[in-house]
Amino acid sequence: MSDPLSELIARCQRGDTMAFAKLMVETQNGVYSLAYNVLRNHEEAQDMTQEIYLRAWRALPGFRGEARFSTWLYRIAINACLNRRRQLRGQLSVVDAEDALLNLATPELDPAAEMIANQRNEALWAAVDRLPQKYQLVITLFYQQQMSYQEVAQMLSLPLGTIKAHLNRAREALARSLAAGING
Amino acid sequence: MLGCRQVGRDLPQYIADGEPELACHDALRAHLALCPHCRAYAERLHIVERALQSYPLVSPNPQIVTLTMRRISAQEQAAQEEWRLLPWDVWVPAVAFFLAIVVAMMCLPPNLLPAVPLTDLERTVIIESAPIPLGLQMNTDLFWALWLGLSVIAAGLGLSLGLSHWNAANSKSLGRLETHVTDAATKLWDYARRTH
Repeated sequence: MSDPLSELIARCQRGDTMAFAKLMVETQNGVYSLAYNVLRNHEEAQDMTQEIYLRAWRALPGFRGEARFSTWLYRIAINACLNRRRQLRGQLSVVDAEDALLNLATPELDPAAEMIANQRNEALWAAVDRLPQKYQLVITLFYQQQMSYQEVAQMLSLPLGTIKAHLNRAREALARSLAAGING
Repeated sequence: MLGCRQVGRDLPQYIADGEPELACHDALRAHLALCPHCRAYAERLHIVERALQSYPLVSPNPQIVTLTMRRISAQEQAAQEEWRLLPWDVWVPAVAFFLAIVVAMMCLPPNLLPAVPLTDLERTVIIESAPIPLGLQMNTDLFWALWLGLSVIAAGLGLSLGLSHWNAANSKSLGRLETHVTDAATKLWDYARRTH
């Protein structure tokens, strides 16, 4: 499998720390976004991102290139973030309840005014933040990290049908929230 | 003809897939052409899909690469300063070779040794010839010769591996395994010192 980062990875596996620093630069936004979306706290996400890369550095000799590097890295990230989230459960503002899907609200939008696309987008992105965790995670992996349905399913060890169902339920909830915002 | 409920269930995936022009979606398209409620829903799903397609990544602190590389350097430094056993690719074959020598010494027929009075300890260490307890028909000397041969072969292979060329990745993996074992041994040693 051809990976655009394969040359950097090979250098890292030979102990080249400069190559690892470059690898970090290439992937840090994706990893940090994932950490932030799970932990919902910038400080925790910052610490967790460093921890993820430390683990990746230690585990890099075992990377065989059977999957894309980003997939392998995000798997480390998800496991680490979900473990940390379990430890911090009482302290983080994390939405888990399914009824949050039904009661998702976006700010009221003035139907008389011309809708500016990026304001509407920002309202929807804010609504994603209020989705239950499992829907946020699939949205993050599928849309932000640009993974395929199959990759998301493998990453989360869930059936393909479940991933599609989660995404569709999230889309329905967001469409309902948009309607509620328009209608007031 | 599909109803609104069925169309409502199928629309999110249909819109996300980019409204594929497939025959299986003809009924859905026919319904959308006639139902303003479902058309409005489809339009909202389009807006949602466009928003999600442009969902931005969150950027970390610009110093995160520097901070992480410092931690990696500190970790590598700490690993090198720890008390280390001899490299595995030296002491494993060395132990195997030593064991082979011990087995060989124990297999020497007693009448080959010079007539030197033995201490009580030496008498207890020498293995007396005896039939194999498992009832094998094999001759005892042949058994010990085979065992000695296997031990020497294993030791030779270990030495060859130890002296052969290893690439950096193998050494690094072995080094990490060695570090874990060293950590465990150090912890056990500290525990033993504290408790005794």
